[in-house]
Amino acid sequence: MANASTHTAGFKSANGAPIFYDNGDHHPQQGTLLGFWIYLMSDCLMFAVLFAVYAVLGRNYAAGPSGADLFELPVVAVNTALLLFSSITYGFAMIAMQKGSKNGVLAWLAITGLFGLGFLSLELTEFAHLIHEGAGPSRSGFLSAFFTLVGTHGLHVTFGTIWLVTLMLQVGKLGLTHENKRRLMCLSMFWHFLDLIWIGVFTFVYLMGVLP
Amino acid sequence: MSQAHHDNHHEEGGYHATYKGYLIGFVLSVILTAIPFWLVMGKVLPTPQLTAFVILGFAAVQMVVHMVYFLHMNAKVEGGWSMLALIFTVAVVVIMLSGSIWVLYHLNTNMMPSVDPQSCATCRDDPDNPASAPLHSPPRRAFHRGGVGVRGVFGFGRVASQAPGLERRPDRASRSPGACTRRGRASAWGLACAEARNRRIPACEPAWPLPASA
Repeated sequence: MANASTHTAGFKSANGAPIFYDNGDHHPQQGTLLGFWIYLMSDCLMFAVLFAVYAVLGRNYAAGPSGADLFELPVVAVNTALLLFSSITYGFAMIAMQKGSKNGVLAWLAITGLFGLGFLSLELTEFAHLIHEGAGPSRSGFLSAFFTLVGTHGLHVTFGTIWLVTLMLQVGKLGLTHENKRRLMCLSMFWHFLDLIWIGVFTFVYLMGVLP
Repeated sequence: MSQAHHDNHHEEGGYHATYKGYLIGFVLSVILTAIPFWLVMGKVLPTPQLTAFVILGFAAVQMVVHMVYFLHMNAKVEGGWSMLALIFTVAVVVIMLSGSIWVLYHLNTNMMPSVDPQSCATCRDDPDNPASAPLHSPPRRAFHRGGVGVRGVFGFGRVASQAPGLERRPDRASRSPGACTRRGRASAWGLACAEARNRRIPACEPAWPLPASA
């Protein structure tokens, strides 16, 4: 390879050999992770729209129940804890992946999935209870916005859990291959991103919803 | 330059996760989550407005903590492109959220209710209903509900606006203390409570909770 001094001379060095400007020190990484990050950012925009809808409609009760009437903060606290625990257990799965421990990855993924399922079952129980009481999405603008925002987040967690089970099967069958590591890192970003969105949900919807 | 270098470069994704990093993020998140719950559930701060601002601040800090310790975000990931996308997204989100709340500040101003209050039997004795106003009172010309915008959203006091010439009537809740004491879940709530508490809405809409026959 041509040395640095000949780089300014043009595309060919004095002896006619081609010059490669990419000497391998710095090059664009494979685009998957950046592409997935940009997907997450667009997802973030979608959630921002739903948060804006809730900000506008969140106090239009139509003489129906308000957040203070409906929300059970201890349940929300448990949900928050489940999601937070699932975040750190996924982190441990990533550390196991770096160490090349296939069984460690599978075990931590399984624990993460259980936390995710716990979160989903609590949330579905809450939704079913609200609808049973007549506080369904069609009751008021507040409840429409609430179910849309929280439901969209729950749907993301649902698909994240499906993805997680799929990856467990992949890792179990193929091991920690290059592709599987890449997929695990994408799901890692997705999972932590959902926890980040949940911060906004429990603060803006639940905690501020019960304030008088 | 070698293949090994490339593989390493790709698979590590530009960061190296450590137990320490995750545990720091986790402990910080637990603290930053517990304090807002404590502030709200314990009614620690004197006013709801202050509580709202403080817990929003905690949420913002916790989001940064998640970004740094869980999502491993820094200016070097993907040669800075991730950070650039993040900054762009944050800018759009801020513009959209603040713009929506600002523009829709007067969402409900000058809106007329579609229900004729005179024909509604359930709200005759509602203090906000013109049908229940004493005969010698000047009639209300409109249900001028308060704006629902920033003030309503952030709980800066519900705007109980009123027609000119009428004094503000006390809430039912304040007239009968204890009437709105919460008894279990929302199903235990009576019509009077929901109306009194959520009375920015014309009183002739279906009462909460819905009658069993409905």
